[in-house]
Amino acid sequence: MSEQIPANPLIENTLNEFFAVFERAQSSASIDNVYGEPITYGDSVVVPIASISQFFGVGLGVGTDQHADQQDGGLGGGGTARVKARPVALAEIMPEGVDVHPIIDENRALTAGLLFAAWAVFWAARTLIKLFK
Amino acid sequence: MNGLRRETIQGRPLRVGDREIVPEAEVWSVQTKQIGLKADGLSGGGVWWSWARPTALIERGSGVERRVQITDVNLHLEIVLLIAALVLPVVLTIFTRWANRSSAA
Repeated sequence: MSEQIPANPLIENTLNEFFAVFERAQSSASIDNVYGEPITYGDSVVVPIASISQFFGVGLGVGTDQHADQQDGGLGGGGTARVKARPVALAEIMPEGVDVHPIIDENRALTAGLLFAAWAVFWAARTLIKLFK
Repeated sequence: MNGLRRETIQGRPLRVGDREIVPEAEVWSVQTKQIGLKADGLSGGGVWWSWARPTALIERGSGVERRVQITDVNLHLEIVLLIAALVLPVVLTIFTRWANRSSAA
């Protein structure tokens, strides 16, 4: 039967701390990332608006070789992170009111349209084959 | 805490003349953490994902408050195409069955 080692709070504390720091940083930075720095343009103020997605992953491990004559061990870890911003709109704040101009990402729209067209052609062809078989 | 979370946050107000513009965003986040304990060691890991999207600009001035909605046109287009892509096979399958039944009758 394997020997049970006492629970070491090292990894749990490290992970919790890591997540807490990241979450605090994220909640304060989110809104500033979504709404960019205002740009004054004549009487108007232009605010760039984006949608932000963030991802991070972390893994840690501590191991000991209890079968060796002298107890041996090691600690390792790794992580990855990604931040992606997509423009959504431009807000124009004028003396007479606020106007929001949506930004159309043509590449994204074209990709989605082409994927849908390919899917539609596949299903149309399949339907025709089934009808005239 | 593991799980999905949604919150609405507001940013610093922007003063333009006698008006105040408050940016508002919606943040979705998911996090999972796992700690594994074995006889010869400990391992742990976690992932965290968040998506912040603009929802509205709140315009306040001379006692009036107005919400200016922000629409993500690209996201809407993708959602519409995704729904159409899901509905299309269903419609065509129903049509094929109906047509085959009609021709057999």
